[in-house]
Amino acid sequence: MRDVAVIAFAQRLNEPCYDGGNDIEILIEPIRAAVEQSGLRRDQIDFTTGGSNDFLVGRAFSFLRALDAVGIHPAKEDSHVEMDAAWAFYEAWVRLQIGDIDTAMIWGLGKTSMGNIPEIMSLSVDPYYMAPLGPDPASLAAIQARALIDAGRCTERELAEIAAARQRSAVANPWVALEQPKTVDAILAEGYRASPLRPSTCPPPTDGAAALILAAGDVARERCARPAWIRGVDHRTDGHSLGVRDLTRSASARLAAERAGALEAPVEVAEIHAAFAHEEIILAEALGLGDGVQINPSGGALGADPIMATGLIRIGEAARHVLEGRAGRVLAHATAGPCLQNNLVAVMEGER
Amino acid sequence: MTDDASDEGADAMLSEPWTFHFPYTRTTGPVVGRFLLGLRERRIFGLRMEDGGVLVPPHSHDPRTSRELTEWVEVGTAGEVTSWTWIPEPSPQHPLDRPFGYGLVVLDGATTGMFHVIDTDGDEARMKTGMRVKVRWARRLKGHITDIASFVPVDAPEPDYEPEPVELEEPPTAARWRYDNPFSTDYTILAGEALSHHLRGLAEGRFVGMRGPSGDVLIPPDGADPFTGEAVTEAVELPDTGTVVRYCVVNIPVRGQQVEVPFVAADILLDGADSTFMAMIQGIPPRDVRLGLRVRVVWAEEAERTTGFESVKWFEPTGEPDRDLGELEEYL
Repeated sequence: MRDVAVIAFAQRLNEPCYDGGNDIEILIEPIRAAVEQSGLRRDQIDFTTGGSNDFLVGRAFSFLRALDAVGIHPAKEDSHVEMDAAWAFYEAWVRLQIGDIDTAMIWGLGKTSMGNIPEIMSLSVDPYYMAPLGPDPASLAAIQARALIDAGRCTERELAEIAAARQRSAVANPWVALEQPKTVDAILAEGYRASPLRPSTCPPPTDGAAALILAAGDVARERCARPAWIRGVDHRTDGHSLGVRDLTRSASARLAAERAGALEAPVEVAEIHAAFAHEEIILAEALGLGDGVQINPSGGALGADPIMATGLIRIGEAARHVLEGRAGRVLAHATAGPCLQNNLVAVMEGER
Repeated sequence: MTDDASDEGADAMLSEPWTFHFPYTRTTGPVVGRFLLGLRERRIFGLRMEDGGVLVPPHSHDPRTSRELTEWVEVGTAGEVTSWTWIPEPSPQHPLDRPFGYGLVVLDGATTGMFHVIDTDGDEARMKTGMRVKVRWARRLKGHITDIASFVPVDAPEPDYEPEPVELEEPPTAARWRYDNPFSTDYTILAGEALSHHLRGLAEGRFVGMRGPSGDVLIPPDGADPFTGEAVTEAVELPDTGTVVRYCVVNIPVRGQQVEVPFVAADILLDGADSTFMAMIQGIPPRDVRLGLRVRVVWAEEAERTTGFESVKWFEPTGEPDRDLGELEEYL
């Protein structure tokens, strides 16, 4: 495998509604900042790709508009995934493994405030058996949360404790607009959105965008004092039907973690894409995150969930701990699909 | 486009409500088709999996071994709830307008959970993991997942109607089963800062472009200078005149079109601009339109102008000599 590292990461403020611009304007600043941080000129970035979703912004082929913020001169080798940009990160890593290019930029666009997210997301489930029944992600997640509670793996209070802890971290994160964390009791006093989940144990509506730059080998060493080397990355999926899965475990996250080498040595920090509080419990087990691991010091997706950028931000936030010399080995996780169907795990380390 | 905050004056962001319609028709294929058409007859079928269990609702392949499944098994219309949630405040996307549950139901004879609606007449206290439920059939059976209106507690009274299959023009076959499944959802589209400058200009009968770091003047501007990826920052007023750099003759009437066919649709390079936009050409026979033709905008009457392209009626020839095509090479 070729050595590839994250050398730069930037995001814009995650806030409930970014009303300062459209779906292109929201991308300009994070892309500009990531390029500047990398020390590369735009024409030195060999490959660009992104993750976004047309349904969120209400435009067909909306990713073509995003190219305006990428900068098209000289003509780029460009791609796109209609998924969380964490999967675009995976694509870029694979592209760099070919060996003929050295740099790539990945952008993620999560402008969710223009549409009706619960309605739009109901289109992402089985169109014959489920979508006509109108389930939104919180309803499906709640069925998983109940299964976990029934299995004796957590209580509603523990879910509230996770949410309160992530809100405290999110308030300390300058890239998240949340100003006041709720106490555990205040969260337990919230009404249910979809029992046993309450507004605070679900992800908050968020507009955001992020960009991340990868470089291979010596280019990474030249451009970055402390590259976050990708030691392993893998993604795996479970079946779509909830009724054929053991909802209290994530077999695919476990397999992805094994294949990415996450279980070979403990990590110091894990940024995991747990948009609903109970998902943290399932993922911590699947990813082998023991007591010593700092989980979601950014606040995670319970602090900010700019859908389609959330997973990429987990990778960027985890990488920052290495880039800034605060950790030597970190894990990032992203998910897609109902109830943690599809899971991506990346392990990053500083120079040994 | 409308002002979303007119009290903020000329700089407020423009936005517009927008509804996206998806007029899907679903073709089910033989497996999903057989299951859905079974519902129409108030029967529920699953497929035997390789481990001996029964998959309901069925998919063509085994979820664990990926082998094709072929042995159909009829299962019961009552079963057990294995997990559930309660929706205290339903929204228009939900199937019921009063509080209800969603759950996974393992039907008698099946071994996998089926996602569906659980209706306890709004009473959350009746929801329990392990509760017994039975199908409540819809009034009209269409060969659709909603033929199961909901699952209700086994002791719930029967409805006061007899469910009936809807008449079909010809007998349905599982392999060719299809039905309309339209979906629509509402948006509020933000024009963005740069485009708002331009659209406001149109309402005033002015062309406003935006200059980016590359020096290019873009009209209409979308926010970024595509050459550099940086934000466009400087509003630039452009003249009413420009040059035809591409065109086509439209011979097929388009719904809502204001002018008669044939007419010319052309890409216009406004004087001083570095990007083009499309507009109609009038005041000249279509056969005489050519590359390099000099044109001037005809604005809509002031009362009819909007912050949208309706403000531009069309372009007409100015009568000036054509521009030298050599100067326009990069646009042709």
